[in-house]
Amino acid sequence: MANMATQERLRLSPARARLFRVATLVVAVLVCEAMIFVALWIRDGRAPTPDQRRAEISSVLADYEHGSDATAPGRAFFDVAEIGTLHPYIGYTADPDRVTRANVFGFTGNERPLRHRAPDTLLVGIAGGSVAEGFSLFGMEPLERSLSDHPEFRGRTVVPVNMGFSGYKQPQQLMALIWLLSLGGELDYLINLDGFNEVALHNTENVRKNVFPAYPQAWFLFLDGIPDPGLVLRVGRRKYLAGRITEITRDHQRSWTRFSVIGFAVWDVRRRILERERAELGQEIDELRSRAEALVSSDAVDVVPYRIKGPESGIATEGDLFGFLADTWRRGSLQLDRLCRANGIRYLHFLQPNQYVEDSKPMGATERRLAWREDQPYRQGVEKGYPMLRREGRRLVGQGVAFHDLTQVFAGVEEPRYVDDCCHFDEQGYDRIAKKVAQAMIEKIELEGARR
Amino acid sequence: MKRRVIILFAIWIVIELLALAWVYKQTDNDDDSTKERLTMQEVTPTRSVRLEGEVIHPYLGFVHDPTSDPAVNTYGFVGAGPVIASRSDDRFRVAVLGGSAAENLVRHGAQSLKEAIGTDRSRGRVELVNLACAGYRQPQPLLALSWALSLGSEFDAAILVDGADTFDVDEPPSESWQVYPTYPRNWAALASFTSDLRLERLMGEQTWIVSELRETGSGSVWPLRRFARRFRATRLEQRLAELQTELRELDSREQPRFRVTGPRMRVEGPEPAQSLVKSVWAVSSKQLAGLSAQNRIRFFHFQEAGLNIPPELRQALGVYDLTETFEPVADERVHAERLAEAIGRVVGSALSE
Repeated sequence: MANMATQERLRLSPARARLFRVATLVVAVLVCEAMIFVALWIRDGRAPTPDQRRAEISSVLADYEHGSDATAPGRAFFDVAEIGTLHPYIGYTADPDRVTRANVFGFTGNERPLRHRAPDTLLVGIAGGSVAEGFSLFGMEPLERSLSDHPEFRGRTVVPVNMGFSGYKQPQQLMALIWLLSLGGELDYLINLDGFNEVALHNTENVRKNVFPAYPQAWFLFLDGIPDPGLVLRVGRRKYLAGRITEITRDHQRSWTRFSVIGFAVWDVRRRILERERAELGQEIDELRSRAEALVSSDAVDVVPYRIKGPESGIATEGDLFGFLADTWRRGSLQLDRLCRANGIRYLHFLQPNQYVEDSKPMGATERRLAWREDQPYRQGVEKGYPMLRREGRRLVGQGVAFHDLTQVFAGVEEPRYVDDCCHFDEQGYDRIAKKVAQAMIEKIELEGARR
Repeated sequence: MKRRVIILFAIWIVIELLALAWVYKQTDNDDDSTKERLTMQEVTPTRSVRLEGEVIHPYLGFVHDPTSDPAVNTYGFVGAGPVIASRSDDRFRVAVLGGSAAENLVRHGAQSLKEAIGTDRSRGRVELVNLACAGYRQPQPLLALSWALSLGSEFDAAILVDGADTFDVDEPPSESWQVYPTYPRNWAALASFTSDLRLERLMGEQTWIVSELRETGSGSVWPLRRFARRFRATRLEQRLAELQTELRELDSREQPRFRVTGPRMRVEGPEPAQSLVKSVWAVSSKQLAGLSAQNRIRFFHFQEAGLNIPPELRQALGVYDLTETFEPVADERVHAERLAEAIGRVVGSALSE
C-alpha cells in the first residue's frame, strides 16, 4: 500500500513527463556532441571549432560546385586534363560541359566575365593558377571589407572577374587578359597571384616529353586523341583507295571486258597496284598509331612530335631551366603591367606563399603531417625556383611594376593554414592574403595621388 | 618508218586538240574555279580541312610545322632570322604581323621592305621577324606579338598587314556546328578528336582529297595533261561532295564539344558573327597600338588594298590604306614585292620624321 503511495508520488504529470523526456534527449545529444567533438579532436589533431568546421564546409562546397576538386589538395596533373579542355589562345580552360561553375568562356566564377566599368562597381580581374582561382572565391569578401573605409572604394561593390585556373602559369595569365580585352571586357584592377606553378610544374610534367617550358601544364595530355595530321591524310588516302578498288571492280563486272581474259588481266593489274599502295599505307598508319600510343605511355622523347614539344629551347642545365622559368614569369608580368597601363587598369602582382619556402611559416605537428611531404615532387621546384622568383620580383619593382612578395605572409602564424601538401590554404589564409592585397591597392592609389 | 612517225605525231596532235576543246568546253578557267572552291573550304567553320603542315599551338591557335617545311623556324613561322633577340644599336628589329598577305611580304618582299626601311643607315641593319602566318586574323596577331615579347624578344617597330580575312569574307556557310567566330580558322578540324573510326576515315579522306585537289589546281601548258588532271579533279570533287553529305549527316547526330565550339552563342545568321569578328579586329588593333607604345615599339597598321573598312574606323585606328598608292597584282611574288615597297616607303618616311 505504502509502495503504491510512493509510486503515486513519483508519477509525473503529463506535462512534466514530456519535459523530462525532452531534457533527457537534450542531455543525450550534448553527451554525443561532446564525445564526437573529442573523437574528432583526437582523429584530426585539432579541435573541430565552429570556424574550423565552417572553413571545411566552404572548401568542400567550393570543390564540388566546380564539378571537380579544382582548388583541392594535391591535384595530379592528369586531373587538370580531365576537367580542363583545349583552348586556342590560353592553352586550356575549364570545360563548361564538365565543370558546373565554369562560365561560357571556360572561367570559373562570374557568369558574365565581359563587363564594362561603372562608378558603383570595382571590377577586379584575378589571374594566376588554382590559388588565384581560390582567391576569387574566398578572398573577395575580406577584400571588399578591407577596402570599404577608403574613400576611393567606399560604396563600390567588388565584382571579381576570374581568369585564373588550375595549373596556369605565364604566359597563360597574359593570354587570358588579351582574350578578355579583345572581346571588349574591361577591368579596374588586375590582381595576379602566382609563382608556384611557374617553377614547380615543368620539372614534374612537361619535361618528360621535352615540351617547351613556356607551354601549358600537361600540354601533351590535352592533345591526346587528336590525330597526327600525317595519320589523317594516310587514313583518308587508304579509304579512298578502297573506294577506287570497289569502283573499278564494279565497272569491270558490269562491262563487256568481263568476258575477256585481257580485260580481266587489266583489272587485276590495276587492283593489285591499288592494293599494294593500300598495304604500304596500312604499315605507315600502324607505325604512326604506335608512335601516338607510345607518346602518352612512355617517356621516350624521340617520338614526341612538334605540335606537342613546341620550339627547341636550347636549355642545357637545370640552372638554365630555372633561370628561363623565372625570366618567363617576370616577362609575362611585365607585359601584363604594360597592357594594363595601355588600358587604364591598375595592375598588382603578388608572389604567392608556399610551405616549401624555407622559414616561411612555423608548422606544428598537425599541419606538418597534412601539408609537408619530404618526397613531394613540387618541393624541389619551389626550393630552387623561389629564390629566383624573388630576385626577378625585385627586378620587376625596378621596372615599375607594383610587385609584392607574399612568401612571408604566414611567417608569424602558428595556426595551421595549409590544407594540402601542394600549395593551397584555408579560408583564413585567403583572408590574410586579401588584407595584404587591399593594403597594396590602397598604397598604389595613395602613391599615385602623391605623384600627382 | 618516217611515215609511221608522222601518223603517230598527227594522232597525238589530234588527241591534244580534242583534249583542248574538251577542257575549254568544260570551263573557261577550271584552275581558278578549283581554287575558289578550296578557299571556301578554308572558311568553313566546321569539319574544315586540317592541312598537313599546320599544327595546333597553345597560344596562337596554330602555326606551321617546321618538320614539314625547311623555311619554317622553330617557333612555327616562315623565316630564318632569330625570333627571340633583344634591341641593339646596330640592328633595327621589325616584327611583321598578320595573315597570308603579311607572310607573303616576308617570303617574297623581305629584301624590298628592308631596303625601303633601311634607307637611313643610322638605324642599323634592318631585321625582319616574321610573326605572321597564313590564315591568322585578330586576335592572333596581337597574341603573336605578346608571345614573342613574353619570351624576351624586343622590337623597334611592328608592321601589321591585315583586313582581308575580316572585311572581305563571304558569308560563312550554314553548318550544324557553330564554332565561336573569333576562334582560329579551321579550329574544328584542328581540335576534333576522332574516337569514331568511321568519322576518322571520312575526315581523313576529305583532307586527302582537298590536298590532292590543291595540287591538281596548278595548270599545265599541255591540253592532254590538263584533260587528265581535269578528269581526275572531277572524280575527286564528286567524291568530296558525297563525303560532305555524309559528314553533315554525322554532325547533325553528334553534340559538339566545348573544345571545338568555344563559347556557345546563338547565331541567327552571319551578321552577328561578322560584327563580332570586326569588333575584335578593331579592339585588337587598338590593343596592339597600346602594347607597342608601352614597349617603345613604333606600330604601323596597314589594310590590304581595296577593302571595305569604314573610313571613320580606319581613321580612329590610324590604319594606313594602300588602295591609292598600290595596285594589286595577280602574281603572288610580284604583288608581295610591290606591297613591300609601298609599306617600306610609308614606314621609312614615318621613322625619319
